[in-house]
Amino acid sequence: MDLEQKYKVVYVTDLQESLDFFLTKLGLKLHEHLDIPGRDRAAVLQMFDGDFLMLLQNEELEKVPVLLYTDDCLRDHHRLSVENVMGLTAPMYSPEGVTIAFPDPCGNKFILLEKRDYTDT
Amino acid sequence: MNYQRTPVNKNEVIIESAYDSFHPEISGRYAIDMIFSGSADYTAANRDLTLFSENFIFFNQQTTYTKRINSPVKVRSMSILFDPEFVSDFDYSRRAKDSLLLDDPENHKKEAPVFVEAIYPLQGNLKFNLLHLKKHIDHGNTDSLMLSSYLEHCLINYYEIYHSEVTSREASLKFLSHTTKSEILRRLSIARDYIISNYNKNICLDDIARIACLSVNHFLRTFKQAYQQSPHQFLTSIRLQQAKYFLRNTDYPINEIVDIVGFECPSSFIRLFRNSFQVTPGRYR
Repeated sequence: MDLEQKYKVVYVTDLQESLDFFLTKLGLKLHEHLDIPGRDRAAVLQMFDGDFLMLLQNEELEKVPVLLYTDDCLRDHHRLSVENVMGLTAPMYSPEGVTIAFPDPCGNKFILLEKRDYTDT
Repeated sequence: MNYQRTPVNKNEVIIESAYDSFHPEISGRYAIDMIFSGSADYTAANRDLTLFSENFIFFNQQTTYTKRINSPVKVRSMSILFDPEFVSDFDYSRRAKDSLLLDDPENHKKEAPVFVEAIYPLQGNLKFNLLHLKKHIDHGNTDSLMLSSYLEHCLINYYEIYHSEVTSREASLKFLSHTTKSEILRRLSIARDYIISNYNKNICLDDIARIACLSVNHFLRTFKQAYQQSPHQFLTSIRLQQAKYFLRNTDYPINEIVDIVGFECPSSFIRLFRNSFQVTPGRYR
């Protein structure tokens, strides 16, 4: 078990629709389905950096944009462009790396960041 | 020798691993060439250039150049050959106003941009994007649409480097005439390429100034204006950067690296390295 791996929990209003989006459009992998007592089912996806994204059925959405990390932002931008994801922004370069932003089908806003260490390049 | 050509619409990406190869009279497309290990020799417009790792070289479409590899270590290199229309279109879309792009979308066919051909540091986003591009090609990805978006971003990154390495340096020269500024920077750029190409040899100021077609005093003064450092400081920084590369990527003893990059003695190398990077070569490794 890798204790360094992190979970990011995101509330979604339609678990299946969000799951389809992250699996088929962004290319994440399904790690497991979870049954959490007192709640609807949740799904855990493995992200590009090995961390986990847990999608949790909820009546309310996230109030602030969710930051996810990737190892190749241009690849992900291409995948989402090909899938005609509405609201997808062009890649933006910043001192931290390169980012794109997109909404999921429920309306959550996501920022995908490829961190780049420019100190030694 | 391993030579892989990947067409990306009318552009092309060539990845080569070789000890010995010769490609004469390459022309007709804009080119960004880089080296991952070892070095390659180029001849363009009567100039002999050597490209080492951590740098890239840019050629305009009308330039004819040759590339030669002859090395005891395997040289791994990548060339991006941009179709002139792809570059013209990209250039026009950056320069023209939105209204003009709508009214006259084909205007780009009328002129092809001409850049100062030089060796530039391979750094920042260009380096990251080129490494991603290479990874996709190494994995056999032939999706032209995706590879094309990497090439477009390589041009975005190249324009940023060009702006910082050419346009803003040209502006920092203290001459009134724009033509004079451009000509001085072009000559300084030739001198700079000579220093980079011969960083591991004993080179003297007279030779560098002569190659730049400038007097020694004029060369020293304008070089400092453009690059905010003396030619000697620039040479030292190139040697230290290359030393960093060897420390990171090889297991050569430090004494050998000192010799390879052209420093005269290990103690001065260690002192300069520590002063520049706040870490000793041994700890950096």
